[in-house]
Amino acid sequence: MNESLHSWKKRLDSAAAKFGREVKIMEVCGTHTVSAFRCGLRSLLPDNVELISGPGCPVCVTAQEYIDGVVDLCRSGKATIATYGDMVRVPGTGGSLETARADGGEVRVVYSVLDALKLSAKRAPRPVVFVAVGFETTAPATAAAVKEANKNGIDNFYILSAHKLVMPAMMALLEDGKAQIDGFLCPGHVSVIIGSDAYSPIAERFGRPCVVAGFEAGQMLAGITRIVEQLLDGGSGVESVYAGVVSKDGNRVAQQLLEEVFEPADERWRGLGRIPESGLALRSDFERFDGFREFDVKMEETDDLPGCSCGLVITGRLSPVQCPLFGNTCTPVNPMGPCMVSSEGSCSAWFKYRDRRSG
Amino acid sequence: MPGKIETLDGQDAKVNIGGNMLDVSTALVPEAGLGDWVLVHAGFAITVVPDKEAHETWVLVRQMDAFRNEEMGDIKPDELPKSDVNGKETLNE
Repeated sequence: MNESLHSWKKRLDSAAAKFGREVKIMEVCGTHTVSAFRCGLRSLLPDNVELISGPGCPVCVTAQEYIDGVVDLCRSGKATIATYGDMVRVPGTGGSLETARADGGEVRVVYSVLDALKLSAKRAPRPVVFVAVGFETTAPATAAAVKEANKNGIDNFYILSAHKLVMPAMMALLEDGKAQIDGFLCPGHVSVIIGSDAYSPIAERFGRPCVVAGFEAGQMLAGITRIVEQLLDGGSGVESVYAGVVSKDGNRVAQQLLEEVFEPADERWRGLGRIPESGLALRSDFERFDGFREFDVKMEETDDLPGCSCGLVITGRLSPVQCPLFGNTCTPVNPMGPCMVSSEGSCSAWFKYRDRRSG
Repeated sequence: MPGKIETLDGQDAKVNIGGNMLDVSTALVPEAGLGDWVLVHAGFAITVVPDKEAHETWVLVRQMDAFRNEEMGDIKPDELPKSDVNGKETLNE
């Protein structure tokens, strides 16, 4: 253990012992979930400090009807679907993009939305529809691509926006009150875009400490320690231990781009339901790139798959291992829900690393 | 993980992340220049990372990889790498 990690561990042990009662800290980022397992962070936490996963995996929070809409569009053969790899195996009510592809649908996995844009030029006039999921970190990239398509007069590129905003979901979780959340380990990369000051309403209105951390073990431990120390002192402030990377104001260029291309819209989240102004819809100036409109993709509210507990897992109400399907019916090879599919999914991380979680 | 901008043509950069060269847009960080360290997400640089933080991060990652390999019996402790992503001797700096 390096010196910094050792000193944070000592501080955390001391603060947790003095605080006495159980502390539940929610990490609102799929990358934190996976990093915490990979580096054995849970084994360093005092017995009364628990890390719970929140709605931070973009694929996991995407509503069932969106998955179904994308799969149906793929099956219709009207367009080529371009998507980040994690979405391909997410089960919909009538199969996944993987099964739709096996049935003749055209699916292309892309590393960046710009690859989808290039694909649309290559495949013109065939329509290419980009599966636009992700939070504030990913949405500016989509906005940049839409703006580029607009500038270059590309008329066969579309997006299906399921982009989501982190803050409304964090507030909804606290308003809902079904899960004990004493503080938030805030997402590193989302915070790069929105800035650490964005979390002030949570600290002020709900009295919960919010600490932004990077993905390295020492930073995550520092973040957890500062949350427990704040609780011990009776405070609830916003801090960043992601030195030199996250500013208070965030990335203004990205924020302006989001503002220019998208407008806030009500959005359905798996496990959280409809949250006002928690999503991003294309502004009217860019509506010709709207795949929902062009292909009449229906978004009728659909229940999650029977037996799947992903909705409870991503709202901190259930640990993956408490789901009756975990590890038997539902595995990475045969996933029953998105949290087992995505590399950032909580169930996938627990399945992969559970034997090492305390070692 | 931070990566280093190796070439830059307008907004189109090639970024070296741990030896992997990726095509990256700098549209969201117009201030980024050749040789800067950047964080990359879904093909876009999202922020410029100060040199010190970037180097420290890579040294920690290399250490963790080395310990993981050691745990798996692949290498011996005295074979721990002492270089960062650019091959500079930074571990003991």
